[in-house]
Amino acid sequence: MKQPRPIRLSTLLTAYLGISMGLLCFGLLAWTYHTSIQAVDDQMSASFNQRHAIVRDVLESSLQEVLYRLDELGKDPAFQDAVAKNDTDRMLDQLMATSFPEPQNSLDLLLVMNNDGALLLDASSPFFETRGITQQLDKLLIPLHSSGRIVAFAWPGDTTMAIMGAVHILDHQSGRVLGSLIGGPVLNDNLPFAEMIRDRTQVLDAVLVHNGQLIASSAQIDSPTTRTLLEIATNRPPLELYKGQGAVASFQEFSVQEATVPLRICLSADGVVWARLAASYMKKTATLLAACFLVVFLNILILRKIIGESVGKMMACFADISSGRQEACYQPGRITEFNAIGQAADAMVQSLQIANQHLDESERKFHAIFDQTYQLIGLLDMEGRLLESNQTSLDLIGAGMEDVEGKFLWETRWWTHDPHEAQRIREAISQARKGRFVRIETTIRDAKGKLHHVDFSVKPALDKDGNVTLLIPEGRDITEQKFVQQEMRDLRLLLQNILDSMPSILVGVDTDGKVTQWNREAENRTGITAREAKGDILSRTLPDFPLLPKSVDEALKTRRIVKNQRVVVSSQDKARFFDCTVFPLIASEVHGAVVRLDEVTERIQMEQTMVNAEKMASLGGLAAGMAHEINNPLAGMIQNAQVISNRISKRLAKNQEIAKECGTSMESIVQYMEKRGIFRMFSAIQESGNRAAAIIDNMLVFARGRDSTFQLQDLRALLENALVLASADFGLKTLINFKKIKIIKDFPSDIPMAPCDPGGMQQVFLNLLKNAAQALAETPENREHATIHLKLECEKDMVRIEIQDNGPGMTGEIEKRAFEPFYTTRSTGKGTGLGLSVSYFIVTEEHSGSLHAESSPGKGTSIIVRLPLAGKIAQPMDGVGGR
Amino acid sequence: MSLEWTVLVVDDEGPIRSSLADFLEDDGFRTIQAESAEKGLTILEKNPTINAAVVDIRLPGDDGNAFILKAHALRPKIKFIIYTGSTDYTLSMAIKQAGVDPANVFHKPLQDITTLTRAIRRVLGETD
Repeated sequence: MKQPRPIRLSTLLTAYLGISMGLLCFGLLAWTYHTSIQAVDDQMSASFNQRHAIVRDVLESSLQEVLYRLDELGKDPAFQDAVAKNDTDRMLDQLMATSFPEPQNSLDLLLVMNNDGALLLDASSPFFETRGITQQLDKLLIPLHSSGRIVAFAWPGDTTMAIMGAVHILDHQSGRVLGSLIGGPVLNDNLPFAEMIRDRTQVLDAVLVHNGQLIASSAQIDSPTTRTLLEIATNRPPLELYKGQGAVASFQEFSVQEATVPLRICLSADGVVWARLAASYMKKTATLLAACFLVVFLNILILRKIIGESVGKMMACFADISSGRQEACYQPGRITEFNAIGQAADAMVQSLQIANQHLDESERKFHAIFDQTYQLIGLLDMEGRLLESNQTSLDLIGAGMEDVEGKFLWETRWWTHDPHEAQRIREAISQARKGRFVRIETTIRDAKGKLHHVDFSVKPALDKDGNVTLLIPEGRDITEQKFVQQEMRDLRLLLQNILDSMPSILVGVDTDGKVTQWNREAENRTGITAREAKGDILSRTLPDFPLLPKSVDEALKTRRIVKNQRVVVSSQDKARFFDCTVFPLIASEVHGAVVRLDEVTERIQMEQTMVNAEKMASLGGLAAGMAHEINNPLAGMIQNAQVISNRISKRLAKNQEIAKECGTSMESIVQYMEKRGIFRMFSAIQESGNRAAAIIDNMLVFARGRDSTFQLQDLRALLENALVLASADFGLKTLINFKKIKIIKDFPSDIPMAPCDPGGMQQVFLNLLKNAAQALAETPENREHATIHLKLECEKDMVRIEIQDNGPGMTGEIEKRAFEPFYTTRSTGKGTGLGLSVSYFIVTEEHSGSLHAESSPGKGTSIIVRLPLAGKIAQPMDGVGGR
Repeated sequence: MSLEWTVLVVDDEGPIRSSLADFLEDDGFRTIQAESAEKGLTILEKNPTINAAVVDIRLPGDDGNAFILKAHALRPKIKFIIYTGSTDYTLSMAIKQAGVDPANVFHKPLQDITTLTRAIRRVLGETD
């Protein structure tokens, strides 16, 4: 906006008064002029109207004069007689005798007509051409009778205008119309007529004009005045006042017979009137102007003196105020209103002073807060340019206000470290400009290069109409919180990871028994996700552990750890074991508890296996300790029996010799002994001794690796041997007749020799065959179909030996424990319970083979032995460790 | 049985010692019995004809190993057969140097004592 040029008040007042007074004077002058002209015009108009009336009277009286004279002529008896006698000479004489005292009304045209309307005599002045008139008599006569008219007679190239009258010539005796008299003065160049009009109307000049042609004039015909009047009467409307060229003029029209254009009689008055008027006007104007100037001057003087002085005082006062003076300073002047203003200004200064003090105080406080606050605060204009920033913000980046003022916030040093963040700030500001409160997290790099996390917001400041006028950016340094948050997040994650990586089910519960924590193992085990589980109660989330809520209650109440070991959970067909531990969470008060569930099924199984191994080992240890003590007496027993057998045999020569000495013979002794069953008894002693030795030997298997001798063996032969041994087994015979069992041998011819300990393997086969037979013995009703199926098969680098029976089979539990030492399903005395375990030991430990059972109740049992073909290097040794 | 061998049987258990000696005698050996290592050594010193010894290991006083070492020192030509009730017996280096190899170690009880007699004859150089 263009600033107006300042003007001094006095100049303004002077100019204002000058212009207004000038305009007033001009108005007054214009008005005076107008009214004067109007008055003169009115006066002149009135005067000319009177004059025009006079002109009309003059014309009328002229006509009357003409008629009167014609009538006088007609009444003359001598004339009448002459007319009657049609004597033109006498008529002419008579007419000549008549005098015409007034030249202006002289009968320039005079015609005598007879009764029939024919021209008797033309007595017109010889100066005028009348031939044309006589030809137009018919038209003239009738309207002219007893009345006068201005008549124009048109000639080629000329027009003659005349005032014409007509009267009847009446016989003074009979009263008979003898004829008519027609005549009147010609107006063309009739100076006396014009003079008469001028004289009677008392004007400067009078002119008669018809159709632009000057008919007659009182003035000299070829003068400027005459030409002016002719011009006016030709081109202007009638009965109006024309002024100019030293004269005032006006004309009126008279209708003319035999012409369409009227006769105009124009009168002119002297221009002197106008000169007088102008003089008086000038005098009035001069007086008025003088008066105006006087008034203006006086006004200016008064204004300057009174108002200027007061304004000056006020200005001085205001100058004082603006220069910072704070006490009352106005000197009262003469004008009440100005005094009031001055005093009001003083009062205002005082209240301003107080307000200022408050404001100063308030601003000081505000700045203390604004600058010292920990927050980052600023002020932006609508475009996002920085108007204000607090000291904290500036200190953070080590800048002064001058470095950032007026810059766009996103281009300031707070965000130069990261264009992406700067762009986000820009977007936030553009959002705020739409009237929204925007809050984002951003970063600021401080003067030392350290990155701060800032909770940044922009708030629009609204005016009372709700328009955004300013933007208030704010920032809070949340680096610390961020760090702590991150640490907490990491810690939480770590804890969660720890909890999740635990192989135990870990469940947190609050004091109401609701789930607060549910680790991954818990999810995997239950199929319930942590989200589903949290907030639910234990009896619903872990229904397999009905006693758990009780344990939790107990732990919470006693503040002690509650342990329940080997809690059995039956699922499907298997029993599973869990250790349940409830830890109360106690800081100063009870917050809840943690439930830990560990499945220990495998551990328990392992423990059982270990117990078995332990059993075997302790059995081995026992056997090792006992073996010497038992083997010695056994050796004594067996050896002595063998010596006895030797010494009762006939083939020993010494026996014969001693028998002879005793007076008998070996034959007799043998005979006796056979009869008494002594040989059988010795065999039984030997067999029993050997069995005892075998048990010890079996037991010793567990104590140490046998010093087994590996040889390439034909497994078919070993099996055959085992079958023979089985059928000869004394214990077995009491259960079942082995020979009645159907033995199916499925021995392919291409089975290679296998490296093995023949004694060990034979023991294994025998054990397995005995087991099969014993199993078959358990179902006496099926004895007819009892079958043992022996299969040999070559598998890659192994030989597979299967011994299958169609006995009652084993249940899962039995199958599991079948290889435990001393585990037996048979009544005491019918089995040692070592058979399978020893076999298992021999095959797996000594031969690096495998042995397992395949069985199901009612379908019999298959024991499958696999021996590696590339076994231990066979070392042929004779007769060592044999039995 | 062209030759008659003399075998010393060293065992502290009478039934075993005597029955073994009886069996050997029946099989054509001459036998001398000793109930301890010390007595066995005394016998050995007195009887230069002894060709072989069947030795138990667990003995009162000196054990079988000590006897073998001393006997070997005394009569290096004597052959030894170890016949022990210990299941975990292993040959020491010194015993092996005295000419005992694993094939000459037997564990009690033997189902058939002829195994032992065959071994004696083998170590004495007889062929079966």
